[in-house]
Amino acid sequence: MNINICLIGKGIVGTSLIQLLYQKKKFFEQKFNLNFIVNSIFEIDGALINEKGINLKEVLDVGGDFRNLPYWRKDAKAIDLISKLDISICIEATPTNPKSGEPGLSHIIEALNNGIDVISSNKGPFYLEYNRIKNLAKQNNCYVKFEATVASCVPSLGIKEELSGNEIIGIKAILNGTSNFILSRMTAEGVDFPLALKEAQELGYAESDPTLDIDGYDAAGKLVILANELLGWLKTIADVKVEGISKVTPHAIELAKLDGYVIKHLAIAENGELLVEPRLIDKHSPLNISGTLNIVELETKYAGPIILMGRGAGGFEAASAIINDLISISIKRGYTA
Amino acid sequence: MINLEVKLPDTPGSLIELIKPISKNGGNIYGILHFHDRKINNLIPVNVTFELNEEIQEVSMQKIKNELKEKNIQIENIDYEIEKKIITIILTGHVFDTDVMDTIKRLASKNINVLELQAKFTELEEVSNVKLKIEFPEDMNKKELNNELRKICEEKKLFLITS
Repeated sequence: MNINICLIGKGIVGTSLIQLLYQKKKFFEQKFNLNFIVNSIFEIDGALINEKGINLKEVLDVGGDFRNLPYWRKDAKAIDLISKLDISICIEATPTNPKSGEPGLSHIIEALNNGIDVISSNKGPFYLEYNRIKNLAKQNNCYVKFEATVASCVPSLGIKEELSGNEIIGIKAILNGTSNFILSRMTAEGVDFPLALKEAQELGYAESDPTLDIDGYDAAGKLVILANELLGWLKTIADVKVEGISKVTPHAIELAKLDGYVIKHLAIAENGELLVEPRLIDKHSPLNISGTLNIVELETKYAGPIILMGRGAGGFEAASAIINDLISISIKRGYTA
Repeated sequence: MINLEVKLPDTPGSLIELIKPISKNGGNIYGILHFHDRKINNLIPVNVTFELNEEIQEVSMQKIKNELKEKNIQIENIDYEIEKKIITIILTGHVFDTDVMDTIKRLASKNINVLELQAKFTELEEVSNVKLKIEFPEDMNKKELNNELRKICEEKKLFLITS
């Protein structure tokens, strides 16, 4: 079955998604009877639009020169065209504005208002306006999926369906690879925070402005989404008590070691409270992961803790989560029949 | 804290056989009581009190039970008294300049007792890092404890890391 999709945002995630959609075309057809037709790819200054379907190989081949393709329409805006194009699923992959959630929030709302299912890798709209988006999706009989927003490819949201016979009652997680890398280096090498941060920046694990990562705001946003989705809460990022890691010292780490602890930047949802803060955890705890990995420990009512771990960032990691959402919606919609 | 009651044959070396699985699985033994006056059929009731790492307590205890069973040591009773009242915290900042005794006294007024204090300094003017082992009342939950700690830390501009 042919499924028309639009992609908003052609950054690292968007480009990785185009690559996966192209590479896995036969797989989708053979295994699921699905033919995803990308009829629009929006960027900040225009869009590639071909109602019959964009040649993805051509887009990949030209790389950064995609604006020279004949079907590039300068100044075309997603917000104006979502309702006009024939789209079944809209994929939102623009960068997050942490304060407003824009432009992603408006794209999502516009798509849902037009009865279009939504997949997002953009977390801002969900930690700011989760309830509004979910209600709008319900009112318009739409699916909205956002697996890539938390821990990227790690199925931390999708697991809810797999645990429908159980009950998730608490969450402890490490949701930011940058802060975990920095604390891991401080623990392993005894270096101070500024040096570990510099190293993270040199290795490309931290942005030139790493504030959102090291101050805990990024992890807080992901925690809100996890808590709302898995615990049924209705929180926003304003409800999270956030403490960053910049005040953690090598001496504090040494003192922690004396009692068999390590310091980790934990995101915690328990007893109705959301916290992101440095915590002492037993060095033998499964949460003691190193480097840029993410980990989510779900406390379940009937089976104790269940742990998911993996790479929490990266283009293909996020794109693979989007693909999972695409297939999931397609199955629910009966497109695979 | 775990209290394990077993019956051991009154023969040389039997106590070692009891202790081996406990210590092999990370048990920290606090005390052993023999009840020679209660010996029946050459079996003496013995009571061992020990502690296991809380994170892996269940797994370690299962291993101990299995190993004791293999040695034909009869377990009469196991009491788990999980010690949750003591936690470690770390304070970073001018912990001493902001009157550490006042901090300790204020905690004590809320029945939060400092059992142990360890500190690391660089220079006197620089921030210090202080690890406190604290005991708090059974009827106080961790959230309440953290609220008390945060109140003092916010006032004294100390950076708090709890477990």
